[in-house]
Amino acid sequence: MPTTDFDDLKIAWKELNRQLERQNALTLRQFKEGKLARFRFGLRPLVLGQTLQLVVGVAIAVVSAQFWVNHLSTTHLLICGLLLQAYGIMFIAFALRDLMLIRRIDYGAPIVVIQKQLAQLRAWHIRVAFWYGMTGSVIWLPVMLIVLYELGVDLRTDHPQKVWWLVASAVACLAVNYGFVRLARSSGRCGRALAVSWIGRSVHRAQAALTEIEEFERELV
Amino acid sequence: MEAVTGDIREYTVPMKTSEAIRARFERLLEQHGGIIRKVAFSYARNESDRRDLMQDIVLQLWKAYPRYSPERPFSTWMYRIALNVSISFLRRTTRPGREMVPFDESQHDVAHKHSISRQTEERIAMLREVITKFAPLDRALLLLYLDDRSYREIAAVLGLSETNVATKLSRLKEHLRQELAINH
Repeated sequence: MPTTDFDDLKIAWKELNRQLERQNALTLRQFKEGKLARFRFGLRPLVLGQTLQLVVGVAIAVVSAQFWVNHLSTTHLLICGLLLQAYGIMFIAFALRDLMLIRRIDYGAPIVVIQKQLAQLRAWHIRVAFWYGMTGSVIWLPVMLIVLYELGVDLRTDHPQKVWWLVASAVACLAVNYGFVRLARSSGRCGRALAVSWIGRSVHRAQAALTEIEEFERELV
Repeated sequence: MEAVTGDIREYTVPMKTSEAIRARFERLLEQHGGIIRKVAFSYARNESDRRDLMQDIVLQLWKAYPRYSPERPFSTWMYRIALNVSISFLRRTTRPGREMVPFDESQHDVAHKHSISRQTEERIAMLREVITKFAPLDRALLLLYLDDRSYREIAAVLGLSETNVATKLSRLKEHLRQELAINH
């Protein structure tokens, strides 16, 4: 029985090709006429996004470096400048790593190689999102102090108590953020609830794709 | 099976202008268009998806064309790109928690009832049903098997060893047997 069934499938496959041939000259015509929608597919939006991030990162790093160099003798301003510069450098590093990962993707390479690279890119984005979340919950504080200083208000000198309140808020933000992440990774009821949220599903899907590729790649005996 | 030697011979002609390159690309696209159509059919869920996917594949082929090396058979290179784009397309468009999405038959204009026999129509329907049962990577293997590609070419397209391809194909056939038994 099976040979006949396999033959049936192959006959259907050939027939299908004939049917598709009759109906699908459209795409080729669209290509010839230059009418295919550009920017529809692929990693181009990501490349543009990461290039923009690189520019923003460089701008932050340069501006903050200029700031702390001019305030070497004022400890809190120096620390704010250095923190902001570190944030800018993180932006640059993540964008460069992204662009490097994207650059090595050649769709003409074997399926297993490219699909693994794409899955690794997705997994990397998820890991990076964690760091953006954690740093984002505290970086607003040095930014606020620097901006206010540039506007003529040195919060640390003029209103030291308010600064401590802001520091406490930043620490609370960080703690909440971290707690949320820990909860999502736990096996409790809340953890399971968060695992089916958008973030949990993204992590799961990226991991599942990688596992699937690795299993497919494995030599079978 | 497409003639590999023909591909290589064609590419030994020096390319002079961008127009000549484009013309050659279009000719190859016509010559090997069946690959795009069959791959798009295997990974798209409906007519609209299939058209989108075919466009994506053609655009990606054109984008990657400058990196194409004439030493390699064009069909292998085309399979790689078409399958890579399609697998990514399927992953991008499949809803989380629902990896296998059945074909929407009413949306496929492939088998016009008036132009093919009932038996062929049934065979294509069975083929559709079987294809959707396979995960994206196994689907690529199935497609290459149905297309009568050699172990060597399948291995080159997928990035596996020939031995691994042989083993996987025998398991795939076993899986197919089970699926066909269920369908009967």
